[in-house]
Amino acid sequence: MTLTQISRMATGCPGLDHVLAGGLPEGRSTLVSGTAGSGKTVLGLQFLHDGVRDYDQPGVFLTFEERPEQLRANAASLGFDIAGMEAEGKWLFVDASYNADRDEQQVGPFDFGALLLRLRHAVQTVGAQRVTLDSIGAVFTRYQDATTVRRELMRVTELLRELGVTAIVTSERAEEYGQIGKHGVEEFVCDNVMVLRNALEEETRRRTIEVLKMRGVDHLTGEFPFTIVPKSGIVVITLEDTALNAPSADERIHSGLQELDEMCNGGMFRDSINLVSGATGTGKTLLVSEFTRGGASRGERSLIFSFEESRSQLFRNAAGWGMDFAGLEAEGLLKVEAAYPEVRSLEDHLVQIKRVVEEYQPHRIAIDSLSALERIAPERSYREFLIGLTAYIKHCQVAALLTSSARNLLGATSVTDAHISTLTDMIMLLRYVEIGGAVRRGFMVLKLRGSTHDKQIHEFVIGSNGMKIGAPFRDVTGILAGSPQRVAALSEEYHDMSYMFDGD
Amino acid sequence: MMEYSPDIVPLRRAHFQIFVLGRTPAAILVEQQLRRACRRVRGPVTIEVIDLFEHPEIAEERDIVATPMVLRLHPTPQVRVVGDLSDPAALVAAFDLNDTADDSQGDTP
Repeated sequence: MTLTQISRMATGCPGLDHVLAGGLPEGRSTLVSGTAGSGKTVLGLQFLHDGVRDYDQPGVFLTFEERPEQLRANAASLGFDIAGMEAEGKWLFVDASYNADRDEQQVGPFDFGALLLRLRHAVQTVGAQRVTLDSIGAVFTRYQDATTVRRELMRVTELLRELGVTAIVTSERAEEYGQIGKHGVEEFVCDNVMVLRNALEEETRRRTIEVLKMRGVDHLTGEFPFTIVPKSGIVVITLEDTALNAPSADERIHSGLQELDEMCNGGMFRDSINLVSGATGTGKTLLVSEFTRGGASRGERSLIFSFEESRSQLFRNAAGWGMDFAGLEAEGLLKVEAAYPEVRSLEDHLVQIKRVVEEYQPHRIAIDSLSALERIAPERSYREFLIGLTAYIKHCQVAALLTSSARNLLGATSVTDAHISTLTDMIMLLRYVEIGGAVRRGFMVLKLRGSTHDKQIHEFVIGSNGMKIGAPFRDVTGILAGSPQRVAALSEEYHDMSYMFDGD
Repeated sequence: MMEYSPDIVPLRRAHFQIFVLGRTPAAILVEQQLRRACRRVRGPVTIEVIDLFEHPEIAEERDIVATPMVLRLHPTPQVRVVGDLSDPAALVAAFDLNDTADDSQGDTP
């Protein structure tokens, strides 16, 4: 006996292909089961749409539920141009939706011969490689003879197999957890089952997708959160996806500070997530402002989400550092969105952030601060928010600067957010450094993915022209631990403070 | 027990389309059953048989899912019935053919 490798067909749905370890089993039907409003039809539309757009694989949408014009309109609201694909001969609807004018009485046995004929004809007409059937429940609504419907649905899936198309078959279920479908046929018509959920948890809706079974092929197990985003449709959020699937550019951009660019060997990456962590007052918001000024100097638009300071505070601070935010806004190089974290849930914040990003199309995004958002939600939601946020930023391929407050004024427990550190491309630390009875500020790049970087702790000062990063601290150890000490072997009793730093 | 009701006008004319897939036993049965039931229509009866294998586009235009399917075009409103019409009583009821004198049942004198 030889094992035949089942090849995969990439769905095109961000994150889902990762969960599916490559895509749906090619030439097979996959059941997508979910409660009302869980996103089944969207997934079915997206599967065909992305197939045409990304892989030039035509599709046939067999609908028992919504009329084609409704589906076109729903798809258009997601940014999918189905009418255009129909005009190009890449998409066909087979309309078997219920309509009161076409109410049918039943007198004696019947079969779905005409439907099979239409499906075969449609698949052959456009050369379809993908088919969506939406949904099984609606067939049972149109024809009450359940035994016949069950038998005929099996014939439909047999035909799909014979035609060699990869198919999604949707089905309703009554509860989020329980039997897969309510018609007692679902498991038998498809080898593969995915479940979409839209569960109410701590008063918020949480959408997840789970691959229940994929006969004979690999997949990730467990529930993965997803969101529905304009232009992309369903975006499944996986940690690994952010690292693996997002394309990354080698292009560097100006961080806003010449010295920081040098520490990073040429600047931040064009599509990167950069985290700055530091205690209150160390200069995180200043770094955000420098990041914005740096972008503006290259003609790049920045979008700042401020959850700690109001617009006017932000503008006043910027003025104190010699930056004209009002002027930048007038030139269209800056947009500031300020809101209290408490005004909406984290999920809604994420949706709002996406909405504004879609509208403004910035080159750079700053969020100040994550810590302010952290306090309004349970840990699990916060973690999922971060994953969703970073996945989205990666998707947009922009540079992002996120700030996080360290809990202690001095030293450690800094990047408290163990969650976020793995999602970032660069981590910068801002530290108070107490030496010889005086408090100074230290700056270091803790991590920079994909590049070498300066690993020394530099002193920096804040002046009327913003931030100035200076030379590294020398002969000092223990800054990160919060208790800086002069290195005994190198220091002498008579050493002045100034000896701890390089020249200038 | 059927009673003649004066406000029911007997059918003077009828027009049916039968949609089938090939000359299957079910397709033949449908036509026989329909012709038999139409004997009670007092006027010309038109019955067309359309083989969807030869005209797949018609299945699409008319949104036909199940076969055999019989469409009553006249009298209006249109009526759609699926199945092989093997049950004469259900067939008569579905197409509302009862308004003619019923000669299939043994009438009481």
